[in-house]
Amino acid sequence: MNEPEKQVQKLIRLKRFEEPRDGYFEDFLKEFQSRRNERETSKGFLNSRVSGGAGNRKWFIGAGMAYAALLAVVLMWPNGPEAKQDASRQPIIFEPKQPVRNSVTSPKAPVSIPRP
Amino acid sequence: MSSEFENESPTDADEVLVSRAQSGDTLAFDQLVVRYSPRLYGMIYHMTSNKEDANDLTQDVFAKAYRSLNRFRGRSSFYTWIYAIGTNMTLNFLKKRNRRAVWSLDNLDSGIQNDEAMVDLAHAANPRHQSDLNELQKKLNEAMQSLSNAHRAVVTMFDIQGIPHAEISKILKVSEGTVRSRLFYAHRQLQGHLEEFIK
Repeated sequence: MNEPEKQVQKLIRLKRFEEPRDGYFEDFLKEFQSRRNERETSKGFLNSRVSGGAGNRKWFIGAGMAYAALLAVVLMWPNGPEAKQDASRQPIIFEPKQPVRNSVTSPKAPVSIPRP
Repeated sequence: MSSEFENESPTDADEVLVSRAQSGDTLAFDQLVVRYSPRLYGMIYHMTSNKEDANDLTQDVFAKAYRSLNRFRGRSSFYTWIYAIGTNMTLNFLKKRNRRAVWSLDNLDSGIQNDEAMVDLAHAANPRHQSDLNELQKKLNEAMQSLSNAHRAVVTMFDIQGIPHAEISKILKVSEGTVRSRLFYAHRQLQGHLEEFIK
């Protein structure tokens, strides 16, 4: 290592003396513990919402049963080939009315006006 | 080079603390936070040159380590593992910050205290030594920020924190040769920025 490189190292090592204020790391630990507690609390809250007490379980069972019933209705709704044979179940198609024309008389030939 | 990493051998105690923390003992993890937060904070601070960023990132590193602790199998030492997490998170953070155009060297902190070693080097006899100190600190930070993130990481770990080449190579997952070569080029670049302070 040459002399200038050694001096660069010496200068850069001075940065070791850049330190945070006294008591910083005690506060750092408190901040870490506080953040961890917040995370644990929110995680615990979520867990309790999902697998929580009897009240929540009742809601989950009710919601599950409602979902199952809805699924059963959807699956049993007739929409197969048999359903098409049943005329009463044919979809009603509303066709637009044709414009009223005199279909009995034949279309008139263009009238030519004789010039005087 | 002797370093605090070589002189101190907290490995056994770390293993015990890690094992207790993995079983859900939060106090054991808190002891690991107390043990490693000054070094990790230092590494992140010297990489970012910003106190607020260093604080937030160090908190995030410990939070991630706490969440991932059950995946730590002890194949490396705890400090190598948590340093690797810290380095990766810091490098990712710096990549994002470099993409933000609004960040400038004005955001660099200046926090060197009037340490004796600092005063000696900045020529205490000089009546302008306080302004010299400030100027030197500013130049040091600017010189550090002029390095690429990868070069700054090795300078921070080797020159400032005294971590041996072999440990740096494990933390960064590169060969020792790469660590040495990065250091060589980083020193050359720093010489250019600090030539006014080199006799």
